[in-house]
Amino acid sequence: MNKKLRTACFVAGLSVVAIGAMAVNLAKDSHVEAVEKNHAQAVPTASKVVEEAVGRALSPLDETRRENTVEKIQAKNEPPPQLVSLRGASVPDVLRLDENGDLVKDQDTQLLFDFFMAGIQDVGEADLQVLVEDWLGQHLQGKAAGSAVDLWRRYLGYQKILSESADANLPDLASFDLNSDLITRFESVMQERHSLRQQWLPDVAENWFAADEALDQETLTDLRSRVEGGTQSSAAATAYFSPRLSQENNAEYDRRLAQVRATNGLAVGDRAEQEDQLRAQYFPDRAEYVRQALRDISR
Amino acid sequence: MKTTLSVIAAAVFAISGNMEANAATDYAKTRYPIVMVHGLTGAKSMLGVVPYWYGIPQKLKASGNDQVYVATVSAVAGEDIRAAQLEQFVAEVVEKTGAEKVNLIGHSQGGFTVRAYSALHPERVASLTTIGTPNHGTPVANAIFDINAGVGKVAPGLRNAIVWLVESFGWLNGKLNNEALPQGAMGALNLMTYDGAQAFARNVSDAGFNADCKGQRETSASGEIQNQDGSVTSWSFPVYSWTGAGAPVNPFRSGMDILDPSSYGMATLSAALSTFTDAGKNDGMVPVCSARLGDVISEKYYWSHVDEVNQIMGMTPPGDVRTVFVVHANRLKQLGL
Repeated sequence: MNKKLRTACFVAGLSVVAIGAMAVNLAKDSHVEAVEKNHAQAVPTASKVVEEAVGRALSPLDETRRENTVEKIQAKNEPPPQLVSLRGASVPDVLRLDENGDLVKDQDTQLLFDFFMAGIQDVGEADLQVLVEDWLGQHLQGKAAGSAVDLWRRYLGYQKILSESADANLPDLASFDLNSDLITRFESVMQERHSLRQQWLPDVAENWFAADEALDQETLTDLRSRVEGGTQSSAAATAYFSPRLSQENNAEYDRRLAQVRATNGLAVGDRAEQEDQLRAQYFPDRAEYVRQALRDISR
Repeated sequence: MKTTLSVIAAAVFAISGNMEANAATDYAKTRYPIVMVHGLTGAKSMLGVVPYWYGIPQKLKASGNDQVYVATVSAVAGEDIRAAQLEQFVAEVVEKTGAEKVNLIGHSQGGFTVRAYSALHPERVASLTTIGTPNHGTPVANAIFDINAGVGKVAPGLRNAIVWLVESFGWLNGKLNNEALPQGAMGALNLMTYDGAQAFARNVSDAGFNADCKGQRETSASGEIQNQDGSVTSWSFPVYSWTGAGAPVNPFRSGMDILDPSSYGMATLSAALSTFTDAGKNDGMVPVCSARLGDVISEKYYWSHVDEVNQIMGMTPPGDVRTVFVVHANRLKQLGL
């Protein structure tokens, strides 16, 4: 079999495995998707296009769900107990109003929303929506509360749309290669993400995402430069520490360790115990024992 | 020393130089500096230019923490080398900041590196966190050893997936960095085998470790060290871990991750691990059970091994990977760390 044919066969086989993995994921999630899409809800301040997307993206504030989900909110800075992965951390105490009583929608507000989003895997999107809206309702009043809930829903909707990029062009696995074409597609994805931010969050997009997008742009530019400009590596990239190996190998220890490892008939546990004893004998100092153990494990 | 200082300076500059936004909060401001240690193949930026911890130091800084240091240790080496390099790095951070301790965070093999450091200098450790680290070993490492030794027991599907992944990423990194493939991979992989991981815990560090990954674990470590002058120093630190449980290639959930080429390698490997080994849920590289150490923050994140550090370029499923680090920094802050 020539190399090209062998490569083609291998890639085809790999594709089958990857598609299998996709199918498993799809099967697992399809019923969840179906349930969530049965619930539609519009967001008051969004455009028609956004409204439709939100309708697909967000689940409703189901009162039954609310009763089942929302327990008494804990002390002001403790996250809701359902968000178990946030335990030990405090809810960012960042909500502020301006002189007109309007919510200040700055990066701190994003921090608050991202904080809750970091617990999305604990309860799922629908329950998270309820939890956060209740939390906002308890900490804000009047138009500020409405404004915060509206912004939260749009942020959640934006995140949901990002996760539903089903129409995105799949990369061609057969030509998996970091080349200019792939970078162009990365740039296209970043542009799409930028557009979604402008569409869903026009009032905060610049403030919330400018730094992120600057990093993306810088990285893409650097990536393209590297791919198109050759394979020069930068000084920073190659600035390694020279390892400080603190001790010469102990020849006698090495010889005896080799003997232990070569002994036939020793059970794994017994061999490990003999190695440990030998190491302790030659390296009684705890730190030196650890260093030698690291060397032995790395051999 | 000059090299070390220049690298630290470069790392600090890289963080601060990209960060335009001013933190209006001290939410993530820890008492002690955070030192982040990369995993296997990641000493340099991924693919030559993409920062390994993509946007994470910047996000921490935007949330009030201006003491985040990204360590660079050898990309492919055993812990005998990497731990020694981290010792140097932390020593410089301590010298620069005047801090008595550091909060250590390691991803993948970097978890072993920070664990090794904590065994050598427990009094310097404020907290220890491993992310997607095969603390109990991974069948990927065992399979690579078997493949290398010509042992025929590795299922062809798993072998093909591993070879493809290693060759793809090895080739990409090699191409962009103008380097031959690095040596020392076997030293690195040895401790990630089932036996190697147990030996590491037995001989180096068992902080937060239970040999049975399904068993209960201590969530902190403590002890005393005898100083040369005869005095005794007590130490203690909390131990945390988290990991992704998915290697997602699902158009309805993956979002931008669907365009991240690494997703396909991770998904393929994840499927192969689930099919051909007893790994169970995994992130495409490390079984969830294996990653457990100390207090497990979560193992439900819908992330692959690469997503766990916000690669490639943050094209991960929602929410924001970076925020998990911000929340964790606040968690450490709440403990006075």
